[in-house]
Amino acid sequence: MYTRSIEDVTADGDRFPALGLSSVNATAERQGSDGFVENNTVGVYLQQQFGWRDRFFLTGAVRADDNSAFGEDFDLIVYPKVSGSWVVAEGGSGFVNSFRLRAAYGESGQQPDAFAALRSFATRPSSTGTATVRPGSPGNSELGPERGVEVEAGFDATFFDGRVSIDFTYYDQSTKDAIVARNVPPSTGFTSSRFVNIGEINNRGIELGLNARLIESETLDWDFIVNASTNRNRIVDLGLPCSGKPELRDTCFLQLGWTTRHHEGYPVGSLFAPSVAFAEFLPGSDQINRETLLCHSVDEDDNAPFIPCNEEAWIYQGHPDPNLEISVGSSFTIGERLTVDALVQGKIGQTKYDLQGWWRYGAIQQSELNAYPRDHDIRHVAEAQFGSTGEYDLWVNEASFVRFRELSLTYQMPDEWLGLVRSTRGSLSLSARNLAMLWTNWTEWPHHDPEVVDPSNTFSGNREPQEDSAVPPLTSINITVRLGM
Amino acid sequence: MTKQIIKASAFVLVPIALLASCDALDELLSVEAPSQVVASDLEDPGSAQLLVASVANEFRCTHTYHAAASAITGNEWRDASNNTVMNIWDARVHDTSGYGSQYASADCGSGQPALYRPLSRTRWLADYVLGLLNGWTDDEVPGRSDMIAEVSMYAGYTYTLFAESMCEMAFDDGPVVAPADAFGTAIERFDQAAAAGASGDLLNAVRVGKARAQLNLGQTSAAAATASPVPEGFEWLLQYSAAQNVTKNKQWQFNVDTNTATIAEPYREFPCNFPWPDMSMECTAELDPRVEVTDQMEGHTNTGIALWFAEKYESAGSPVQLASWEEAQLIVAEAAIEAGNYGQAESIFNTLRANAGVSPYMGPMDMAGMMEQLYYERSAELFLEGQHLWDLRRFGQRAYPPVGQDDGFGAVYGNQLCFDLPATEFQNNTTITGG
Repeated sequence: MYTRSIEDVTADGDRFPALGLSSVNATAERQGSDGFVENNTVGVYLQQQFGWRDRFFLTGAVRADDNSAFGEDFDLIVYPKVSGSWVVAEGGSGFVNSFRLRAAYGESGQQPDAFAALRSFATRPSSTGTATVRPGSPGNSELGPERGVEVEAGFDATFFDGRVSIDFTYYDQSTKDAIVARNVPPSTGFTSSRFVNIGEINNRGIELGLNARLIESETLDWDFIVNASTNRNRIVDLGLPCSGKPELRDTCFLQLGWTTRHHEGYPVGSLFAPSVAFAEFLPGSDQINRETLLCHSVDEDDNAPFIPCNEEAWIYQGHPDPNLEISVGSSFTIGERLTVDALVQGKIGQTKYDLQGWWRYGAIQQSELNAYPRDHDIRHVAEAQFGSTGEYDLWVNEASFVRFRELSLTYQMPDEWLGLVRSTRGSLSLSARNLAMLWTNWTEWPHHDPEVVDPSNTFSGNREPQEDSAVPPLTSINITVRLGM
Repeated sequence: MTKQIIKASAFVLVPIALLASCDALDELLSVEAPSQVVASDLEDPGSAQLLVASVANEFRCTHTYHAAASAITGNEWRDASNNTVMNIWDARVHDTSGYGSQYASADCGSGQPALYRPLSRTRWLADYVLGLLNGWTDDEVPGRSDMIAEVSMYAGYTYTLFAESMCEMAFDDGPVVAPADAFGTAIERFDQAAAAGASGDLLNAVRVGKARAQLNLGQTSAAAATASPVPEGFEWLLQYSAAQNVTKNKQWQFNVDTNTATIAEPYREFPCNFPWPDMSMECTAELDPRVEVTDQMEGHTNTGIALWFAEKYESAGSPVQLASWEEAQLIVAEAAIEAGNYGQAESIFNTLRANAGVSPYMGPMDMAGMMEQLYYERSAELFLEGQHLWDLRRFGQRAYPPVGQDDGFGAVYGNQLCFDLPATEFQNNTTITGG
């Protein structure tokens, strides 16, 4: 059994009447809050491991859980697991030093938030000063855990007397009964979303780790490190009446924000928006003719028929998560004391909603595009002129980037220095983070950073993956002294 | 080997079976939730008073936001700040989804009018509380009948506000409902209030509400019969306060406090520009104090749009009239006009005008003239009380500014005087989507 309880009590105050005061009690206006969350899990876990001649290993396990956050109509859940590995080679010298194949099947669960299943009310002050209640969270008595089913296979190997090591994994992970915040119709009296177990989301991809010591000598060691992972994310089943019906695929989605959707057959939180294909100015005017405006019907395909820019013209623009995340690093050890590390990181394939762009082009229409429409692509001009409601692809763009993440120098202190401060070991580091943007296709760079997504504005919060009001990764320089006593 | 498998299976299955069947499991899993107002805790007779007060409070908030929506979409207000959301309300061009669906997403506490969310919440809460009250006994809840009457009255008005502003709506995750059906449900709720023994001012508020719904259904003579017993001097006021944003009178706040709305031209120097302004004419008419508005002699700080304030509401805590003898009389007058009894209608007009200090009606005594005057009297008596948008539609009047006019900030005025079922409803309503 596992119990988790969190109580947070906060107090804040404004305006001290005099210098030297530091207690909240001494302020002129005081406010406080008190929150309490408790969650209990009761479970059983059994595991058995088998081995044969230190070559084959097989592990089987089963776990059963019940949780206080499950809905009252949901019973316990059982998760099985099995994994095996075969040590093909071990301890050898020469080209292949060790080689291990592995595979696993496992199920796991993610319990709902502590009170997600409860129908609850929120408090509201009345004009007479009394406390009243209003509908808060609709709850779901059938809410259960999210169930993950994962199959993975791969190998770990070392080559060239241990100077090169490679880890490779292919994974295929399905989340069934995914806990999704699904909007409830306002007619139910509740306006917040309800957590439901619906459908299936699939993630598959590879993870690769390469570590190579390219130079090894008394004066210089050079390690080269690459970590890469790919992910292909798809909503397989939304659990809606339209699910699994190819003829309804185009309309089988849950609208999240202005342009974001959970759309069957597409990645989670995909962005959709109309894209103008044809526009013309009104005679003698810089105003676009709304009557003749046409949009793409399929992607940005100019050969496909153009259609009016209505709801059917919303086409897929991208997804908020990267297809590829890669980091490439090098570590140089010069002599016995100096180490130089460098790291480059990249995220490729994610799409963002350019909120600043929308404000400029569509909302307040104060950009060069709006001021000099005849100097720009007329399709973009049309999207700006008719984009006050925020839904054109002009401001939905890919935000891939490669960033010089870190450069650091570390010097191991000699004994003479350590003796001065009575230490047994110590180092001195100078590091710099977020040094440069090496490449990006984000149109707003350098004014806004492609890496920033305001967590309060992500699709899970029913808004767009956008950069509004979030702090970008700052360039920083750090000097660090570490001493061991 | 078989024995070993059985043994191993027993090892796995027995603890799981024990876990599933253990009576003490519920005890182990029970948690405290002192920060949550759980529905099951409220569904107790001891919560009856709190629930009734909650319905009344939600209705207050809903009513003032609805009145603001009626004012800016009707002719009473115009957007002064070029605020992107007020602009949508003012331009009468709404979408069912996305940024243009502010009427669907805005809620009590917003810095703009709100409609579908607060209306839906209040309607559901009122019916939910009614269901609970009807399920309890008089012994469990002292004064239960009075509570049923009060909640039924608020439910009736909420259905009425729904039907007066929405082109179509839905209730309880159910099918699409037409305004006429919602007016019918409103009448049922008012009848429930009367049947529960509503008396005094509450009964009069029920009468005016029911008569209003009957009138909206075209049952004019029945409406007059319902409204006639309402005594002179009656008024039912909704109370507001400056304590919190959600407790403020929004008809005052959006106009006088935040300046996001200004009085629209038809109501400036009333009745000189009513119902359609002609700014080229010098105003020599007798001003009607029921629509007292003042020119602030300055423009909005961002847009320069002339700021005119309504004097009807003086502060965030100014009460708003929900029902009154004056409204009841106007309903009686409407029935009289329809019946050709122009003299009775004229008498009512002149009584109301005299009470306001306005000279008697001197216009034509025919159907067209009297209906035009009725529209005028309702616009004056019920100014900024959330009735004008529906009156615009009911009387077939043109909205001002005219359709097609540029608002000066990139929007063109449309003609959406009622609000479509929003996407947030039809995309998530399981009856409408089919599952």
